[in-house]
Amino acid sequence: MINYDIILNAVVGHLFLAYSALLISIIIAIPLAVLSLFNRYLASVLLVFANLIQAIPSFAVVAIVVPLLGIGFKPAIFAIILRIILPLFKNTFTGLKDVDFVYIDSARGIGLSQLEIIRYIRFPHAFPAIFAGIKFSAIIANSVAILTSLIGAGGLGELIFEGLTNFNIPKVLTGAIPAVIIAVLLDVSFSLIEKRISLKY
Amino acid sequence: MTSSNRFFNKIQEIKIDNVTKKYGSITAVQKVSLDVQGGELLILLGPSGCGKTTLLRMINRLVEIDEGEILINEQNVQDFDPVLLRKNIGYVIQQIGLFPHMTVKENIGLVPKLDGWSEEKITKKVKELLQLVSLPPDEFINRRPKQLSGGQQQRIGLARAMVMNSPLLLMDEPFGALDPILRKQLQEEFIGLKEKLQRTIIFVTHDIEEAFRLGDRIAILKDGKLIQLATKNELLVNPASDFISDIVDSKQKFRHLDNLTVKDIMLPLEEKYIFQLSQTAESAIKKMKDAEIEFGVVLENQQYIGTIKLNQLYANPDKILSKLTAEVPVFKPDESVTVAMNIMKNANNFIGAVMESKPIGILLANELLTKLV
Amino acid sequence: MIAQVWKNQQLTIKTIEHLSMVFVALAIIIVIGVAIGIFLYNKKYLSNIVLNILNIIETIPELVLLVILMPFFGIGYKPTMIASILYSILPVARNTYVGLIQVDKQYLESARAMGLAEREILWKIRIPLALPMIAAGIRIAIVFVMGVITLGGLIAAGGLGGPIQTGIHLYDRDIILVTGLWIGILAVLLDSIGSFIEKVLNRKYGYD
Repeated sequence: MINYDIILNAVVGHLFLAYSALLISIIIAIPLAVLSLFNRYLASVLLVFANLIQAIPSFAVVAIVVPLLGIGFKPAIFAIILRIILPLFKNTFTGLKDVDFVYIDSARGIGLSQLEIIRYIRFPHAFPAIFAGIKFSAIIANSVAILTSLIGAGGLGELIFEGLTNFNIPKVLTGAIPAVIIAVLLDVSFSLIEKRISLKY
Repeated sequence: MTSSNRFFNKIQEIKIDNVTKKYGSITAVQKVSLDVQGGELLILLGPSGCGKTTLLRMINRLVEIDEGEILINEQNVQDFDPVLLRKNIGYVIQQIGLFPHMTVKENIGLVPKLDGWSEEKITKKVKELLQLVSLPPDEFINRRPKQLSGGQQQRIGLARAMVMNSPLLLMDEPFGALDPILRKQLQEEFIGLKEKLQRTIIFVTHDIEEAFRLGDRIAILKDGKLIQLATKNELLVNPASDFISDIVDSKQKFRHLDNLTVKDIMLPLEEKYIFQLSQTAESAIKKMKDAEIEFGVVLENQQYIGTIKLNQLYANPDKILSKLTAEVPVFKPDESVTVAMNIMKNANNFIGAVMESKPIGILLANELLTKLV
Repeated sequence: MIAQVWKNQQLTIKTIEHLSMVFVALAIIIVIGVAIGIFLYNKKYLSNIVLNILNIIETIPELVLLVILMPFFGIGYKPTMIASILYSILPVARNTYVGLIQVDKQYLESARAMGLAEREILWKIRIPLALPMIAAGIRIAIVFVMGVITLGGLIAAGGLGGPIQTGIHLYDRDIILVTGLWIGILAVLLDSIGSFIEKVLNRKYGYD
């Protein structure tokens, strides 16, 4: 009765969706954060946006993507990216910016250029914050990916929604339970890595 | 305070008997015994880590005694409920600890309020105390700690410690975090207060100057042990060990006193202390508050005109400084310290100015030295 | 266009339904969350356990949490409210706890030395000084609650989630845009109110 193939497919689809979005977001957010170090205006605009959009329910964000981009995989990725790129940016930017002035000053004093300072001083110090941002975003990406099945992206959400429409609770659970397992595994593994990193720094 | 909560009306004597405190393998206080006489100001003096603060805090049981006992008026502090005990003892710390979310009145009036005093009674008492610590009551009563300078905060901290009229006051380096000249000023004020208050005070410091200036008797501690307990004169004349004589520098002072010049012990004149004759008291008040000081020198054409103090400025906010300066003895850098100290002692003025071709420094009367001249 | 969608989808009623659910949930969350924080502040071992459990609930996708409650509570209002409360208690409880224990030691020391009992210290010193942190936690909870209640529309809980789902099913662009943007505006409004309260409390009780 329980078709493991379908579930497996759903899981893979789900993970692929969520984590390609995460990857793309990281690739965009980090350079943006570095750029914002140089341009205060950019930084403040992005920060204001970040705080604003974070308040909007994920469901609404996913829905609004439909009239703009249609349905399917691509709009789904876009919706997830929209949701996670700003917290990623914010954490990275704050982590890079809030390095103790003492270190920056001594680095300047021994003759490091701005870029070198960013690479050798700011980034290592920002690691914990950046990592926290990635952890946070991974969890959200996981959440939003489920919702995007509503707009035809497949994955575990699809099982849940199909179950819902047919009032088929067991079916709903075949989607829900793997989702919970993935979520908990995610959290635990990220926390372990986080501990390792904070020990180092 | 209800009479059942009042444990002692006047301190006859505090007996610290063989008190020991250990933290793991470290002994912070080792078998210290000393007597505090009612009405005296006893200083606990010593280098960082000598146990003086730990000892102080065992009296009001913020730290519990491991061995030995402490008796206040023949009653063991262990027999009292610690919370009630502390309501009977005033306590002041270096970081002051004024609650940032309460006004001056709420800060000082917190314990009275919990004790059931009426609003009028609290307001009256708070105003009295503000007068006592030289802060204009109506101006300060509703201020928040954020709006106060360090010196003002410390005064409020003192007022708060005195609100319940406790006969015993414990003070832990209360002036430690302040500008050096401000510290002197507060010490001066405190000496005046001490006379008025007639309480028993136990005062912790690592500053020998402060100890000599304020204390009736001084207890010197090192590595958790009591080295000597004596009056100032005895310490100078009869130090119990080399350690003590090094602290009071008595051998050194006796030997080199005649060779010391004003330049050797003056403070360089910093920009923050400089004011102009034509400035208004109001602008001077603001500048002092920003710099966390309560004292200034007034210059004109690179000459010393005199000194100003924050208290007087408060009393006359619209005058200009030319009307408010007090005369100040002026010295040359190569003058002998003995002579300078004598002059200041006779003029009863603890601050002097040092002048070369232009103003260069401020001379603070050094208690130790004035005792020797 | 907007007026038509509004009327067709009965957005006024839906908005009222939605907001009343949000406020009821928030009220419960604040009371329970702050109570948990206060209860735990001096019990370090227990607090670790409780906060960890709440944390795990946080990582579960909201929809999944909602759906898991269905076998027990059916559909509609009940599971939605329960899910939103469970999900959003953590920020409030955790911030309350952290705010209470992070009070600067010098204030606690002064209070103890003045002869205040532990309870008096808790209520007169710790809690007032923790208010800015608690407000920050409530602000986060507001966002979470909005999110879950919007989702509730998918399981017939009423509120604005319903019209959005309709819009998606019908592939009706107007409905989605109008309702979606309206939810966005409401969310940002609520968050700004939260932010304002946070700032006010910071000014009165915060210290730098």
